[in-house]
Amino acid sequence: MVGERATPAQVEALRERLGLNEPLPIQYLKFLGGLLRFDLGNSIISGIPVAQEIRTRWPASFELAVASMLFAVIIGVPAGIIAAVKKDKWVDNTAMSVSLIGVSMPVYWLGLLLIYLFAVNLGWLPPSGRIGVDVGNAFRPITGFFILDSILRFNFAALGNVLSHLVLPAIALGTIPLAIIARITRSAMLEVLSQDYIRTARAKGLIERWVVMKHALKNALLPVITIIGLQFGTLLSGAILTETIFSWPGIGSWIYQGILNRDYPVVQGGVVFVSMAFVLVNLLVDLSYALFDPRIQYK
Amino acid sequence: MLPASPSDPLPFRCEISAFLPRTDARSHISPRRDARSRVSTNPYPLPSNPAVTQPLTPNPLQAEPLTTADVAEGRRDSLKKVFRHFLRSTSGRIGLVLTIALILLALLAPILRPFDPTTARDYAARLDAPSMAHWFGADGLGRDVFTLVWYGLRISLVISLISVGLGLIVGTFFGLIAGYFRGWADTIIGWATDILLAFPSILLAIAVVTIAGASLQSVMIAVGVVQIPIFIRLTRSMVLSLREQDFVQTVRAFGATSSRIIFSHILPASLAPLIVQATLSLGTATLEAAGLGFLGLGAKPPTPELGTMLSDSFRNGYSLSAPWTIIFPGLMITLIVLAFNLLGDGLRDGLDPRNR
Repeated sequence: MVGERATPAQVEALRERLGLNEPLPIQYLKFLGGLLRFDLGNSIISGIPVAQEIRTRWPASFELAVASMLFAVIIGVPAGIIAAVKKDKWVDNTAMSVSLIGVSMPVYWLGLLLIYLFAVNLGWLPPSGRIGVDVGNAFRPITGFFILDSILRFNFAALGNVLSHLVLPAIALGTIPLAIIARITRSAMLEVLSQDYIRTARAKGLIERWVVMKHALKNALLPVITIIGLQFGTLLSGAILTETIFSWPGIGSWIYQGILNRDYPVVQGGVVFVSMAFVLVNLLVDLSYALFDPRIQYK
Repeated sequence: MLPASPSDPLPFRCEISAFLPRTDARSHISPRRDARSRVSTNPYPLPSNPAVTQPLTPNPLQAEPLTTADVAEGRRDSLKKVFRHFLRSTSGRIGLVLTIALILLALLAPILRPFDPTTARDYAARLDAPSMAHWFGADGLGRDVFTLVWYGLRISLVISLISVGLGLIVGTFFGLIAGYFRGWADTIIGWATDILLAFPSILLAIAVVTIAGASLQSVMIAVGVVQIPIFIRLTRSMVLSLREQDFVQTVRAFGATSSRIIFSHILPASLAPLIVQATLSLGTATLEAAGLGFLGLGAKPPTPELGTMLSDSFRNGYSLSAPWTIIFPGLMITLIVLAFNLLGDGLRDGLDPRNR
């Protein structure tokens, strides 16, 4: 930062400016004190406060995580149900084989393949970024959530543009959760479908669809919700690789840049933020059990 | 069931049989069980009658507590069963074949391709598409992608084996201590586990590599550290239930030391779930190691590590102009992870009592 020919005095001045001349426990306590005030220091490279950078970047990561989760749930849960109902039929075997391949794939590899196929070869979707350059220059965000902002501003051209940018990263990031959700849904449904009360429901003469959707699904959902919550937490962090591939201006790609530049305040702040989000999501999942299962109560 | 009347000899038959001396009809029973029945031999035997001796139900009141040797025998039995069920599952069989094939391929690489894939360059063939000369095409330096991927398989397998081994050994050790001794050891290990699990795995791995410096060794340590809390949790939960079981209590009553109980009795009894978890962990370890390589935190570029190859191709822009430089390394990663996942799934099915 001070160059190779820096004098010892210059190095010492920099160490003092960055607070590196103090003992480690003091540095740590100062960091903790700052954390309580949401002061995570400044980026060494850009000088921008880390907290400010997190504020502007997290909506992008959140939007991407929600989009990929929606993709995963909308396809994964029905796929799991169908696979359970048609156990050992070709639908089941195909769905489970595909989902096994899904969990075995590196997310960034899938991202690169998607870009190559849909952006470069077919030209259907934009390969990177969150919004097109032309549209982006004219776009004035309000909250930082571009989908919400474009609706609030009645700017539907921007909305279309934002959505088209979201498709590929959401698919890439959502594939692993999709595969996991499908597998968990299937096994939870199989477990429930073998229970006595389902046999009773069938014996009453209820149509099969009603038995599956009304009686079985509700009880099978609890483990699925757990896994959705856990996966959502992972998505917020797993996005490091996906955001890098798609140049998505979120927390993940920022942490990655921080690592490459050895910008420790950025890495520190980013990791603290992501871990806190991870813990918070897990807490919310635990609390949500009471909503879905009336037998569970928190006192 | 009809009430037993004095004229009905049937209810007596079972009771008497428990006191009967050993007859040839029982020769199929293991010597250990024989030893147990000999203790309860009636000093006044009834005349030997095969019809009477047939329904041999050991009297539960007479039964001695299971010894560890019994458990060992049962374990051998159950391992055989697990293996049989494992072979019955399609995914297990495919996984086994794939894994063996990959390991063989990795071992054969230096024999079938006896040159260094990183220095064997053919600049004329730079970024050539797949052809007969270069089955998987050539990369930006004119190196044969097929050979690079082949050697990459070796590195990936080594990384995942070593890192999972590290996680397994360290995690199991602390899990055994936490579960067996409880108390403050359990509390402290529990805290450490919670902290490690609070970090998303890739972030934890990145943090470890940042501290240790980017290299293959750091990747192994980082991926291993990520696996540690998983094994601690698993081992601890098994030890908690095992330590209360009769065979452990018996060994303790005989005066065995804690370390003997832990390593000779509890650890062997909890091996099967650990093996399943280790197999599944091999898959995630491969993915994580390749991810670190892709982020530029793993092996340095000339090393044919699969993640590093992907990163190299992505950063130089070859991923768009020469897609084979990303397709094949990624396909190999997927294949390795798939093999371990299938194998782990099969083993888990074999272990699941509901499948028996």
